[in-house]
Amino acid sequence: MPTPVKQERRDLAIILAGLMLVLFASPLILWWSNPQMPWYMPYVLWLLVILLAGYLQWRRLKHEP
Amino acid sequence: MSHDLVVLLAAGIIYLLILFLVAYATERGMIPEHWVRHPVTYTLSLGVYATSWSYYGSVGFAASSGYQFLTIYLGVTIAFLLSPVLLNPILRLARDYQLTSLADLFAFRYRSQAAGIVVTIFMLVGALPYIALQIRAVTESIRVLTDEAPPHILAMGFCVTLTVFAILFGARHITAREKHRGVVVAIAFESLVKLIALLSIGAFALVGVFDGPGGVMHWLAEHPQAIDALYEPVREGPWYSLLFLAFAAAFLLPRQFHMAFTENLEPSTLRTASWAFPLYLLLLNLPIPILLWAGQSLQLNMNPDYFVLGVTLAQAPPWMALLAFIGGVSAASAMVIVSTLALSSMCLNHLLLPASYPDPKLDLYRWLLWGRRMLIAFIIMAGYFFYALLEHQQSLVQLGLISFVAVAQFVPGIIGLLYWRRATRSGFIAGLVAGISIWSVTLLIPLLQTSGMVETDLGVHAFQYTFNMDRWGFATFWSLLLNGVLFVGISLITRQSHDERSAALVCCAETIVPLSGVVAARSSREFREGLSEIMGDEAAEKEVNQALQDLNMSADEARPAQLRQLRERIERNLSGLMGPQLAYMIVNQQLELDAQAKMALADSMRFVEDRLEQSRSKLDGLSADLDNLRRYHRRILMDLPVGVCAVSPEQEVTIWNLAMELSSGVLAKDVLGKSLATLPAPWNDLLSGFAKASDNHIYRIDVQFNNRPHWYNLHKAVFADPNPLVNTQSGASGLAILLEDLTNLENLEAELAHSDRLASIGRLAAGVAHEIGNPVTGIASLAQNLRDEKDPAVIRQSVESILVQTKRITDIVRSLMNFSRSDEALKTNTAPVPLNELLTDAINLVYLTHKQKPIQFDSAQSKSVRLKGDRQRLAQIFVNLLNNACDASMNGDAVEVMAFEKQGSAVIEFIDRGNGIAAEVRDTLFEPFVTTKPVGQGTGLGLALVHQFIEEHNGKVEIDSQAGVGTRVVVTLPVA
Repeated sequence: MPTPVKQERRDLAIILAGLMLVLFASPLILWWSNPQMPWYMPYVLWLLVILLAGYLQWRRLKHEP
Repeated sequence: MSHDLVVLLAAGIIYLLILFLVAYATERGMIPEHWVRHPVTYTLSLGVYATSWSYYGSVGFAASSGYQFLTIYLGVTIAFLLSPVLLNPILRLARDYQLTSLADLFAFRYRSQAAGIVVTIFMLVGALPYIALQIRAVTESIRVLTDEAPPHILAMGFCVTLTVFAILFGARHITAREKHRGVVVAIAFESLVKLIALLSIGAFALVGVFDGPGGVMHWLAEHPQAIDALYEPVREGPWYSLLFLAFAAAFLLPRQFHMAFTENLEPSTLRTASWAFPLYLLLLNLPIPILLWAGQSLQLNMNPDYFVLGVTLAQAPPWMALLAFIGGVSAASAMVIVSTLALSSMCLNHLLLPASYPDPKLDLYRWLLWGRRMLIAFIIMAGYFFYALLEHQQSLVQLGLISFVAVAQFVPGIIGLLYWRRATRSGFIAGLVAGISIWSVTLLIPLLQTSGMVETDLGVHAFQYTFNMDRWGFATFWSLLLNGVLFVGISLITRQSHDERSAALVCCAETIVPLSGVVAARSSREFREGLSEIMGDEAAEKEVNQALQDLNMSADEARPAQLRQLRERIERNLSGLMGPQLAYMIVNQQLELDAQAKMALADSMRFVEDRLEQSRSKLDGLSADLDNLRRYHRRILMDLPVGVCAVSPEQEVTIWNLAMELSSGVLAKDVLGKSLATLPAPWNDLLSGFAKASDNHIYRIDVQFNNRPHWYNLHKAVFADPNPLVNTQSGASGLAILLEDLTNLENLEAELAHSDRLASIGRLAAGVAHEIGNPVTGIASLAQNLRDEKDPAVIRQSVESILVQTKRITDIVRSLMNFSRSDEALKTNTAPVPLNELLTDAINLVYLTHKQKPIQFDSAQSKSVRLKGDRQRLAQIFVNLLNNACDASMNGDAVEVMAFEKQGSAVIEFIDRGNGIAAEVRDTLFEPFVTTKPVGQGTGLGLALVHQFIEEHNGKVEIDSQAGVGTRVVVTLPVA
């Protein structure tokens, strides 16, 4: 009988932080820091994670009592 | 193009006046409350993270290190995305225990004033270069815009203005519970200003310098090395070190801790900030590459740190340059104000108060307020002197990163605080001192060296080259490695104190630790007296009253558990006033726990349950599971249809369930925590007597209560001391008493008995009527004869005959009356009853009932045997047994009734020669509604009542039957 809402919040936080680490603290940085990439590539990736975090919170709040 | 110094000064002063106005309007309640508490306001207030380093320095950082400047914000994004596991626990601790700074947090967890002192000094040393950086950014921006060196008085004026603001709006309250809403809104306003300024300048650069996005693409196509210069350092530079440093700085920098936790007005706003704050940072950094390329495109001949201003100077309208300048002032002023407030709080709690605690005769609050204000002034001035001494060759980023590496030294300590219970204060201090030492050698001393303040060269560069590491990576890696190794190693080999263990439990597991011990002071008045010795009368009075109000507690409260709670509340409130360690020491010294006394189990249980109720939403994982299980068991216990009363080893009631309330009419709230002997009558004697009795069960005890008889079964079980809730004496044990209320059952049985009796009476009535009819006819005949009779002898004989017939009628009626008399009439009649009388009456009645079926009654009775009990019930036993015997017998059969005394008991045997009882129903004969008679001839209650009545008279009944042979019923009853 854990508190599912809190647990879900924690799980999502770790997943999102993990995604940030994969994008910005892993060998994947070699991919997006390629000079062939548009200059705004890191901003796009960063924005995607933020929007995902905002969307997940919005969805959670919608379903929380 | 250059600007007039006076215009810049006027713009700066107007901006700062607006800032004062915003703070003032907030404090006066002119700004709607929901705006002040809105998540957007909180998110913007966190924007204090972006200082003049971000505002000006990011372009310079991008120019020298490409996209590495993004790490300073990507690290923060990771930290804020981890809010539920990283920031929320810190916020919970800061709010619950009124911890105002990182030094408070560490002093609380490691129960060490030394930890607080080390953290404070290190924070102070680490933050001074950063404050100096802000002052420098403002003066440099003026220099860039006016093209001349600004007078020193300008920096001084800036510092004085910020000091006044910080004192007016940041040191209005001295306790952590009262937030500085004016500062929160003012800082949010500053964040908005710098965002608008930077986006406006970026938009101008995009449109004004490049003619739109197409122009940028065109310029980049012509200068492909510009993109390569951004991307290349990502692959080669200290990317990971900077990411980690920013991650730590997101919540460990004094200003971040202050805005995120200390001045947090609404905890739920952190949820929104977890993604909205990174979004703010992204927007703030979006124009940086454009501004860099605009500066390069315009071939600005200046330090790229100030391209933000340079771009506006080149082509923009004059107001754009003023906006850029105001944005820089807002970034710098916000950082200086909030950092100073945070540092002043640390210095007050961990340096000033331990060094010179005020005399109790002084007004403590006034002393604390002015102490804090003086510290604010001192810290800003120290920052100013650091600025004056620093060589201006250092870039903004270098000064900022030195502070970042400094706060990163708290990472091992904060991990221990949140997740590792075994961490000790010795490990924390040793690790921190080692980390500080490496930081000083690798970063601080070289900085002072560059500024000409120190001449010694420690040869750090040689080591750096040996390991092929950059400056930041080298300093971060070695300082944290040594810090972490010592922290873990020394924690493992040293022992925690009891207090440290309790604090670790609170910090790590979000658990509720029950308070142990009993306060020596027995009333809130004694609390005041104790505290006034060290705090003065007025402060002691205020603090005790505040704690009473917080707990919604009466000033007359004297229960030990409540006073223990009051003590804890006072400690928390004092922690918000003067730091956790000093509060802990004052409370321990002035409100001592009584070493001899122990908290009663009832009090401990109530306390734990109260705390669990208050903190339910905060429980998680195993704690939440256990709490749910506890609630489930408690619900079962409370809703049991049997009365449950648990008694602690101290003989105090700990559980009193709903059935107990209904049975006794005594409410749980009036009885919990009290001794059984203090319960209202008759429960005091009944329960305390039963608790002391050797028997574990009492059946059908009759209790007079509410002017009515009630019947109960009582059971008890002894249980062992349930340590660790409370330290009770070894060997003491508690009791669980169960109370079965039989009153309704008893009443039902009485009604059934009455019904059965009425049924018997009905059956008897015919026989009785017939039996009475004969003598009545005889009397009528005699009376007719008497009417004309003259002979006195005949008259006398007739009268004698009438009297004989009348006596016969009287006997019949008496027998019937004896049988049918109500319970209540006989309730108190427990006089000895002659057995032969009872049997004779019973035989007469049954004989009359079965007159149409000639049964012979052979009776052999001892006349001297007397029974003690309820005459009517005893009669009913015999009538029912005789009726059964007659029903089973055939015409002309004999029913034997033998009564004699044997070993102090009366034995009555009823023997018939009837059909006997089938083996399959023998075991259920005494159960209600079990009958072997044809439908309509038996109720099935006769033998059940016989069994019940015999049990009530402490007797027993045995049935020996053989099918086709007959039945022998043996009743044994105690004699009178």
